[in-house]
Amino acid sequence: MDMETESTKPDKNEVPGAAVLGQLLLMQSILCNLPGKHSIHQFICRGLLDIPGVKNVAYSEVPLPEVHKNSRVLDLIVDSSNHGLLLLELSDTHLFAPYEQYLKNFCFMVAVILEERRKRRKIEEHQIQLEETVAERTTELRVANEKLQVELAKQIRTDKLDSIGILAGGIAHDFNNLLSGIFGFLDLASQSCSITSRTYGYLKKAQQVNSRAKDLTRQLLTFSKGGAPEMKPGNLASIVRDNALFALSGSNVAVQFDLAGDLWVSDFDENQMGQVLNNLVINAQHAMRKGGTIVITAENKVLDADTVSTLPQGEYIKLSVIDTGTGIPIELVKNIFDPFFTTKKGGSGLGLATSYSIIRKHNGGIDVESAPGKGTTFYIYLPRSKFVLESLPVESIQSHRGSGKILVMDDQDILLDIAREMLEIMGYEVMTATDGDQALGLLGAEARSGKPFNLAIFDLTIPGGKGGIDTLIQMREMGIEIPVVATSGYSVDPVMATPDLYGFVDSIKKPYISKQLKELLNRLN
Amino acid sequence: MSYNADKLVSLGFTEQQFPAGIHICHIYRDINECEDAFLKFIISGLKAGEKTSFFSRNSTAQLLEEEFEKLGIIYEDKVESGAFSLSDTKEVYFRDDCFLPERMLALLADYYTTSQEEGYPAARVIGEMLPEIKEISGGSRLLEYEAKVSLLLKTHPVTAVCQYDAEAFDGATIMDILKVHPLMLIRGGVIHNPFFIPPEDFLGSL
Repeated sequence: MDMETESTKPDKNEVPGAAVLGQLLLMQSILCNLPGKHSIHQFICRGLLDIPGVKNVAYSEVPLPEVHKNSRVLDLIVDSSNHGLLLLELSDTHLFAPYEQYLKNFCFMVAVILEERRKRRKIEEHQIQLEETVAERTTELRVANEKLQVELAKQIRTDKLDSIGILAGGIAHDFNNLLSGIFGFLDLASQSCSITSRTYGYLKKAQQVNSRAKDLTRQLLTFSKGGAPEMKPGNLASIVRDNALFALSGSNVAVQFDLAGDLWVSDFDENQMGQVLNNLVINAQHAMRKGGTIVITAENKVLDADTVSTLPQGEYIKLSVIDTGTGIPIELVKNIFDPFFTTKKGGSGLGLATSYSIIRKHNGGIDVESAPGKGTTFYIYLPRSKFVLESLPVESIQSHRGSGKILVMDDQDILLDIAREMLEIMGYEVMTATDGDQALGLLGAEARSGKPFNLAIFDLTIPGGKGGIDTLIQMREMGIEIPVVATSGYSVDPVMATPDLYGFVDSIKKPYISKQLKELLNRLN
Repeated sequence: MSYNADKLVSLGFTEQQFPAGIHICHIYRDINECEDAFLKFIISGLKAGEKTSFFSRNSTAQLLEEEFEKLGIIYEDKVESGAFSLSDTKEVYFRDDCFLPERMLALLADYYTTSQEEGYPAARVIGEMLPEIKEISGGSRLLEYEAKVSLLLKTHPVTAVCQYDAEAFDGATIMDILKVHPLMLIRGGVIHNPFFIPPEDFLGSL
């Protein structure tokens, strides 16, 4: 570099262009480093004061109305983008004249720099906006994906549930039929021995155990089928005590009842409500490993709208099952009714899900309050029945004698044997069929022989064969008008709940004991 | 400005060599530009065996250590030997909450004298002026100080670079700063500053 000395430094008065040009060029370079418009304007205005003949420099964003003859206006315009103007007040127009063109060029370059900065800033703003939009979209996608995962998990659970339901239904159906056989023969055996004998006691105990097995199977069937409850008006208090005491028998947990004496009648399926009570009481017992007392209360309650979510305003029976157990962590309470949700090792996670489903199908509501270390309370609300409960005869008929011919159709031989035994003891002639086609054959043959059946009992479900409904339809088409009773292990089958809608005169749930059969036959008589 | 062309030094941020004792202004746009300049200046000074000093307002010791290490320079050795010193700008410029040009000039003169006594071939210093000078007592004497530095360097030729943050100082102040620095570091090049007013003239106009 050629280092300048004092003697060679250009004199701005002797060489009009060089020094000023140098200054203007340097200013242009520095302008790029200055951060804002304001700083740039200050810098330029101060720098241009060194131009010979310039007295004052000011910046204006807007055009000026008039300009003095000793002033000059230099526009900062490029590509029709206006970046304001510089107003130069001159002390000596002649001294300034040689530099005017340099300044015009300089102002053009300044406008270029300002325009570049403006465009760069716009790009940066767009970039920031784009990044914000991307971040927003990413969040939206993440949230949507999380929702989707939740829905997918729910769907998988539902599909699993359905699959298990189908499997459970199949197994439970077969198991139920086997239990029916055991049930029936235990019943017959207990009838054929002395009530004071030890054998009678053993048989009764076996019946109780069988009954529990039946309940378990019913729970599985209810869960797998999820069908309509067989509603009958009744007093909830009656099943509360029985089920609670039975569930807690042999445990270190006691139960205390506080059931209103004037409890309203409600419509419910005794078996299903029994399941619900069983589930709640068992859960309470498991939460109280060190023992204690479960309190069960029942009261009449008038609810306003929204007092309990999902329940309309009205009159309800409120049942509370209160334990003093470990309580449920707050973050888990919301999942408590989800299928397969369980905090118990080895638990199925179906008990409360089934209970929830049953209560909802009863047009009721179920809720829970719990806190760790403070125990749990389940609340059940059932709508008050429109019906008034009439007192039933003191004891259902213990004996029945009849005559006539009854056709029993079921795919399970053991159930056919049980039914035959029971009915023959009662005095009936019994024929059996294992499927609908066989039944129709027998019906037709007996009708033609002039000795038609008086009654038929058809199993609704015949795997691989004609079931009860189809058989009934065909039978009617054959002109055979005898009454037909529907029977099924699926207590929640709608045919069982309202048999008359399907052409049956009544229904009886499997497994049935002779008492139930007698009650049925008496009703039909 | 006249310089002693017998002793030429390398500045680090340009290939050219310059006489020792030049006074350069660096108006930087961002921290990267600032760091790039001071690292190059300091390292070239240490490589040349010069006594080198740096005034920094940020704790840059770690950065310096890392950069030195890349070049095989042991930071601690240089500090212990006195070849390199790092000082806090506020403590140097604004001791007792005021800016005193006389104190600073005395420090600079003493720095050069010591470097000669210690046998260094040359001395250099780079420092950032803080925008707080606008508010501090004596801050209005900044331009006077810079002009006097140019005078001092004639007899005490410390190669000096003054760094100014373009974001922190307004445009008018930056223009004034140009008038008291004979040379400018701009876009990696050192140029003669056409705005420079010789210190005698500048100080005479105050």
